[in-house]
Amino acid sequence: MSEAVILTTHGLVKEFAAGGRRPTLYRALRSALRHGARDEGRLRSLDDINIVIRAGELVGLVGDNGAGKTTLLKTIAGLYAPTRGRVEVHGEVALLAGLGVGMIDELSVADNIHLYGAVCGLYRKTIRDHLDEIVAWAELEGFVDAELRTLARGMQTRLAFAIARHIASDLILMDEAFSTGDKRFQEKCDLYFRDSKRLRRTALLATHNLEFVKEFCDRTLWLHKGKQMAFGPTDVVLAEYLEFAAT
Amino acid sequence: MTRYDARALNLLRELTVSQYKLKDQSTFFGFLWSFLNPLFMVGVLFAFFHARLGESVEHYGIYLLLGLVQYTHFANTTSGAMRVLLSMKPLTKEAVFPKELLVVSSTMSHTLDFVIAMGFCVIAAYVSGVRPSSSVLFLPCVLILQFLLVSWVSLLLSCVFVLARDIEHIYQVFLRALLFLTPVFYTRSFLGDGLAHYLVVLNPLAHMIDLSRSILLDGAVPSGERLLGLLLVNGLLVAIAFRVFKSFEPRLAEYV
Repeated sequence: MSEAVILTTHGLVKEFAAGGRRPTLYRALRSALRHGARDEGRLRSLDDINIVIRAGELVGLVGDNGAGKTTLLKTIAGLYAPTRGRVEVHGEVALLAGLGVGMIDELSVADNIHLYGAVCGLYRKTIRDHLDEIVAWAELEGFVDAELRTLARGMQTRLAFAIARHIASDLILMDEAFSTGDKRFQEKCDLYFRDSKRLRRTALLATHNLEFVKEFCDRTLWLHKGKQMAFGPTDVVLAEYLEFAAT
Repeated sequence: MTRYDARALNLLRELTVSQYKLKDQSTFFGFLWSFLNPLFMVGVLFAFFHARLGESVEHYGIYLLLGLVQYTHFANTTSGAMRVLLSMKPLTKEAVFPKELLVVSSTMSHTLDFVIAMGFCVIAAYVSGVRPSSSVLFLPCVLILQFLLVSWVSLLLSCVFVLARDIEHIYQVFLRALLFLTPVFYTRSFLGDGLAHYLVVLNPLAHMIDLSRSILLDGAVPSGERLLGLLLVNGLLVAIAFRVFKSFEPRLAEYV
């Protein structure tokens, strides 16, 4: 393992306030007067996560619902501040927490390509140069001026992925972004991940699709109720996970 | 320190254009409404106050129009930007980019209307008989200063709104009071030397409106000290508001 380290987490802990009450001025002032102490309890979503990801690795992230997969991705991306511990990222991070986040129904397909491309961190020139190719990949020729809301959900997902494929960040974090869509879309996604492996892109991919993990991921992280159960070669971790799930 | 590269500027541009299109501006009547609203208010206020409050003011209609255009820009921009982190919740919660871009793009999308409206004020002034003067070349300074003003207010309000949603109601009451605390339809001399006078002195919007009126109606070239003073104060407040926003940014996704 001589590749450069892209991501390291040291004893990462993330807790959230348990209460979900609407924040009001009264509650904010009361909390401030108590020096930030909150009335609600704390829920621990991540508990002592220690991982290292090197350049060129595709790492799977598995676990049941509520395991902390999305929280981990968002904490690595810097959207959540760690409660304790550290996240060190050497390079640029892109997060695909859901395909099409930020796309707007009332705008045209062309407008959304520019907007979502910008949200994904693409240069304007990259978007302009690849506009036709994006439309072709998404199979939306003839819909460029249509409002996004007139497209079926699957077509919108295809469009978002067609744009997101051009992300060239050092670390790509994906949360089930590739697990939706029809068979044809899945095949196109598989092609993208084969390319990613060949081009040695670095990604942490959260999914429930174990077949996908087996096929594409070099190593896998298994979370359960916020705890790091295993992190290592995919076949070993998946075997442990499946054994655990069977009990 | 946040680094802004071409991609951040591209995102700012796309967010601004998108929000502008969404603000019903993509239709002709939606676009027209931005100007009809202050014009309608000018008509009402002119009808009521022209005889008493406006008798000593030459071109009282334009005097009102300038005040209302600037007040409306301040009120609409800050109200919109206050809510933007929530109205664009998916982007706030699930996308990685400097979140102040959402606030700044919201202020910019409203400011596009403001620039057009101020141009309209200049034309209306000359049509109604105001003598053309080279001082009008200083009007862009007003646009820049007012943009700085709404930017620092918006950055602070957007943070407060995430922590305390009911601030929206309080702010609407404040904006109503601000219309009376700003010399929009009266002159400063109307206030005398009481508390109201000092409240207006402390009101940054009043300074912006004074500046545009002196440039357009009096044909006065603003002094360097005055421009520099307003630029320094508002620039400093933008820097402070930016620091406050950045210190709050890591917690935004949790609170929204």
